[in-house]
Amino acid sequence: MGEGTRALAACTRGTKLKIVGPLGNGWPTLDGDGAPWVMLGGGIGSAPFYMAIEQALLGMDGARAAKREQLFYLYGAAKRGFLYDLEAFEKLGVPTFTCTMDGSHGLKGHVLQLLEHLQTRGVIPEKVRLLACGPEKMLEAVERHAHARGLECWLSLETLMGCGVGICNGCPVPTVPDGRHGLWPNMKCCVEGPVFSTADVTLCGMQHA
Amino acid sequence: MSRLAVRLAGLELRNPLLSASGTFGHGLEMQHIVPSSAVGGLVSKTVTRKPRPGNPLPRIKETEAGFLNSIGLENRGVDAYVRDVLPAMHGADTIVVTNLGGEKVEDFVELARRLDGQAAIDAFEVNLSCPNVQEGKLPFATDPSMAARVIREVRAATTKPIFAKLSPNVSRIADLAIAVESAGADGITAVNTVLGMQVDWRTRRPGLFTNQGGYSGTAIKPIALRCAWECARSVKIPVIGCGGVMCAEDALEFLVVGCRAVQVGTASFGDPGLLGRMAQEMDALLDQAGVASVTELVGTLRPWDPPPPRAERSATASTSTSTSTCSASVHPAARGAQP
Repeated sequence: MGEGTRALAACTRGTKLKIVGPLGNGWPTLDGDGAPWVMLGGGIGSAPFYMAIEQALLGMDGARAAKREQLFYLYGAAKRGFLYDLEAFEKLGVPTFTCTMDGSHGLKGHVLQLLEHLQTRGVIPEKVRLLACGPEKMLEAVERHAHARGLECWLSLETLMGCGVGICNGCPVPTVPDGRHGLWPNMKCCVEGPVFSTADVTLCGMQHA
Repeated sequence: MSRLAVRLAGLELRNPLLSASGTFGHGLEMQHIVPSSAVGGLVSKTVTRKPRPGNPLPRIKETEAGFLNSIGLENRGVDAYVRDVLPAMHGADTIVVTNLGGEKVEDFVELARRLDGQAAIDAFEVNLSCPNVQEGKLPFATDPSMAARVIREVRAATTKPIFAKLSPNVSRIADLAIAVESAGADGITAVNTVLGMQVDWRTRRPGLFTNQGGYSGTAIKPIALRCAWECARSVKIPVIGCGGVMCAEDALEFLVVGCRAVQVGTASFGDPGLLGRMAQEMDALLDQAGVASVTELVGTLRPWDPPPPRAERSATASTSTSTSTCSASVHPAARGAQP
């Protein structure tokens, strides 16, 4: 648990907080045209998906609204107790599947195993567009998975950030040379992210102590 | 708010508050949060001759009372700075200071020569003191003759005012201040970050990829104040205070010890809008204190009077009212020791 979480946890009802935001970008436009969207949430990485699903169903950024069957939410966590707000996601009405590392809810295993499980059974087609948010190791695996299968994929990253507004250069994300931002070795996670396409950046080279 | 106006090496600043290099982008990235018209000056991120990708992660670490960084001067080089950044800086409604970095004397000279004709730039700040390059050896910041050499050669390459940014990681900063003044600097920025380190004993990992880095924020204000004070009383050129300034009160402290202006750095990370509000806060503080102009504060430190000799204390204790206050403030143990 970090300092920020500790400070938030220490707040009592009625505490006044200053918020700097909203900061950075968001998911790509989750349109209703093209391959279905598969959202992979790991633990508290579920947070950015609730509103994304809501917007996609209404028509995000003026795009064609996605149908419920064009959106799949795959939610993984260490155990059942860490599947936060699962009921809220289920109420959105999009196909929602779970997995836990200890098998206490849904499939026993991680979200990529859950994805393969569902694809093998024909529940989810082979050609999908991936969105992922979760622990670094999960995102690294999702990046490899997307490259191996030639899938479009966006990752919502969380690096340590100094300022959040693009002025300290403390949160570099390595770019890939043939990506859209390949002319410079880094992008700023805080203002140019936190959502990046795996065609533009790689988690390879980011160290996590 | 003319109460806040200061002159700095021939430049007119609307207030004595500048952004510190490396903590505010090149300045205008923050325009939507801090309009340039709210600050006395914008100091750019360090510009180098060639592009620098910066250091590997992790580059930053928050600590108990401050911030550790080892960015490694990530920047796209002077060509990109001239092409992509400077055109917009013409529109900055404030003084623009470009911070120059290099690993060799020639790097600084070349940069000054290259940028001398750029009208958008009002002054240069020569970064003699980045702790995150050249393995933290600080070759220009710890040797007065090397510091003087850089400044002398930059002086010959430009007609714009130059400020030498010094490091606190020296035992006698006054020697450096005198050296850069003699070499032709128009001002001194005191100080850059303090060398520091953080470690996680469980993982045995240092907090930063480069092991050590630059420590800034709240914790270093007393160090920075002492350095700025020592510089200000050693030279005649203006000193710009920098280090641990988190609010307008902090900035005023730097003015009292002799600084003509103050830079705000790490504080902008926690509160990006701070620099835009600080001048108003400073104005209100001066108003409350009945200070008509901020320049009245500069160098007004009131050192403590030496205590009277012991003999005098006992002789006057019973007769003089003026020293009775004084003897009352003497520690009881000391009073008891009087004959």
